[in-house]
This record gives sequence, C-alpha cells and structure tokens, in this order.
Amino acid sequence: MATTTPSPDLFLARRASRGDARAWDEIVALYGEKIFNLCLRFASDAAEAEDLTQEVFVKLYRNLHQYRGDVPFVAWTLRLSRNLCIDHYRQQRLRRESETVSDEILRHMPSADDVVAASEDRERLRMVHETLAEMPEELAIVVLLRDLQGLSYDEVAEFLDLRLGTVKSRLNRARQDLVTRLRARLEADGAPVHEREASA
Amino acid sequence: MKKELEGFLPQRATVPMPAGLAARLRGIPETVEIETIDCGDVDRLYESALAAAHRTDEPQTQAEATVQAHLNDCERCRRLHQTLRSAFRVLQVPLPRALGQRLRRLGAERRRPPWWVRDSRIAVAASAILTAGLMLLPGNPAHWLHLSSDALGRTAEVWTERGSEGSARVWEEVRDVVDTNYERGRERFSDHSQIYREFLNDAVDLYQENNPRRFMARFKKEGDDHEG
Repeated sequence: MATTTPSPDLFLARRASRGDARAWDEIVALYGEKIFNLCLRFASDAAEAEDLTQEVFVKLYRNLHQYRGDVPFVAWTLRLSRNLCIDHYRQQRLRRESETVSDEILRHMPSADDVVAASEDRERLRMVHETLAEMPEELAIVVLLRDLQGLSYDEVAEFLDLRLGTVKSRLNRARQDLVTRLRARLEADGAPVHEREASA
Repeated sequence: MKKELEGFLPQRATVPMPAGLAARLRGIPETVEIETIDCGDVDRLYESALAAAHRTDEPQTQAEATVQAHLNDCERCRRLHQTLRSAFRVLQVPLPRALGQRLRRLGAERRRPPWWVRDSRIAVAASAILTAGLMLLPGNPAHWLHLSSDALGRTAEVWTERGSEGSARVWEEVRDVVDTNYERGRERFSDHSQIYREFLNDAVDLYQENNPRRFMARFKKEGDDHEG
C-alpha cells in the first residue's frame, strides 16, 4: 500500500494549529517578512501595511487546520491573503492617495552613492507607482506582484488564482501598458529628474 | 587502461591553438554585427531590456546585447529603462520588531473553532438538557442532572478542542468522563444509565463519522421522541 509522507509544511501547520507556540513562531519567522512586504505594496503607508499583515496572519491562524499540504505553505498563504490585499488596494486607489508608494519602501531603497542619484531613484519609484495607479487594476496588480515585489510566476498565479498561462499573457499586456504610459509621462516631464531639480 | 596495454598505446596529445586563430577568436565581438532594433522592439523585449538595464557587466544573451546596443544610442529608451530599473530593484523591507511580536502573540490566542464545531457545541449543550430532562422525568435526583450536564459539557469541550486532531483521543477522554461519572454513582444509577450510555456512545460514534449534521439530527430525534 502506498503511503504518503506529510510535507514539512503540513507538519508545521498541524503543530501550529494545535497550539504549538514554537511552530507558530516559526511560521511568523519564515513568512512574516514576505507577507509584510507584500502588504507594503498594497498599502499606502507602513502603519496600514502592519495592520494588513496582522489581518492576514489572523486569517492564516484561523484557517491553519484547513491546510492539506497539497501546495507549498507560502503559496497557500498568498492565496489566503489575496482578498484582504486586493480589497485594501482597491480602497487605496479609490482614495487616490497623494503618496502612492509607502515611505517605508522609500526609506529602505538601496542608497545610491550620491544624494542626487538617491533622490532620482525615489522620484522614479514614485513615478512608476503613480503610473500603476492610472492603469486598470488587474494589470497594475500583476506588475506589482511580479516586477515590484519579485514573486515568481507560480506565486503570482497562486495569489491571483489564475492559470500560469493567463498570468504570463496578462503580465505581457500589463507591461506594454505600463511602458506606454510611462513613456508618455517621461516625455511630458521633458528633462531628466536631476536636470529639473537643478533648475528648480 | 589495462596495465598490460600501457606502453603500447600512444599518449593522448594536446595540439596548441595556433596564435593566429586565438587572435581571430578574440576579435569576434568587434566583427560580429549586432542586429539593430527600434524603440517598439525594446518595449516588446521588456524582460531583456530590464535585464540589460540591471546589468553592469557584459550582456548575457543575444537579446540583451541587442537591447543594450539600442539603449546606448537612444536617450528615450535609456530614460525609460533607468526609471523601471530604479523601481524594480526588489526591496525586502525587514519585518518591524513590534509587528513580529504582535504576530507571535496571535498564536497564544485560542483559535476559534470552525462553524460546525461551534454549532455542534450548541447541539451538545441542547442535548445535555434533553438528557437531563429525560433523567428527571421518572423522578431522578438532581445529582444526575449535574452529572449528565457535566459529562456532556465535557464531551462538547473535548470535541471542540480536539476536533482537528482525530477521534481516538476524544474517545479516550469521553470514556474517561463516562467511567468517572459511572464510578461515582454506579450503585445509585438506575435503568436510565443505559439511556445515558447509549446517548454518549452515539455522540462519540457520530463524532467519529465526522458528521455534525447526523449528530444534530440524532439529538433532535431524541428530543422529539421524548417530547412526544
């Protein structure tokens, strides 16, 4: 008779769902940062991202007993966080926050060698976020996940509950849309950032 | 190589590369013409363009080399890809310590049982009252009301706590509750003990089937029978 060995992920989830505090700590240590970073992309500031992360983990904890080990735990967690993150993003887009990129991300951008270059990098990141805010939601989200957050294609597919082929074709459309809009913005802006700052 | 053949076979020789050939190979990058593309092609070669914009060393693929050559000549595309490159550097912001502590504390909070367990808990509580009522009908002492409620309450608790773990342990604990109660009042427990035992056995059987709907139906029937 064939026997199936429970995956380490399943074992960890089972332990945590039975109230094993160390197993839960391990889940927080393994996935806390990834989920927090994901939430940062969907929230407008760090405090909001923290609250969103907590909501995701509360949901995760309540649903641990439903994890069957048929997909990697990280993929399952991403799937669970989908509705919370997307709802949040939707609200944020409706509010049309003036700051479309979290200060926390700006603060943690790798610092360029000189102040001007660092300022340019931040300006560019803002510009990309503002452009994403203008794009249709389904296209913006796929770029956020893949290109800004660096999720794999499989993870994006799991998060959005789409087939891999659909993710790839949607990402292709999204990137073309982003590039078209960004070109228009850059051309409207005219001079490169450092030149504009110098003249100001 | 077998020892007896040694000395009979020629040694493998390495022929040095002619000096002229080496020089010709080194010169390939200057002689091979890189395909030229326009801005629209760069947009279509998005991933290669990003890779080329990220790269500080030599391009890794032909597509990257082609895009790189275009970026060197085209200010528009260079600006676009510098912008994307700045934004797409994947940043990992460390988890704030206070948030990490908040998340760990969540584990200490008791998990809310799923709906069917919560509902079954209500069903068990209701059935405890029914059973107690049954026992009171022929004039049993209040002591039995207490015992039956206690035992069934424990059944519900154990069910709720162990619901995700499996039935074996639940069965053990329930049996323990039943045995303790029977032991306490064995002598005084009249013919109603059989009803009580059946009731608990059914509860555990239905738990083992993991079928809350039948469980609830069973106790609804019990109630209807005795109301009738």
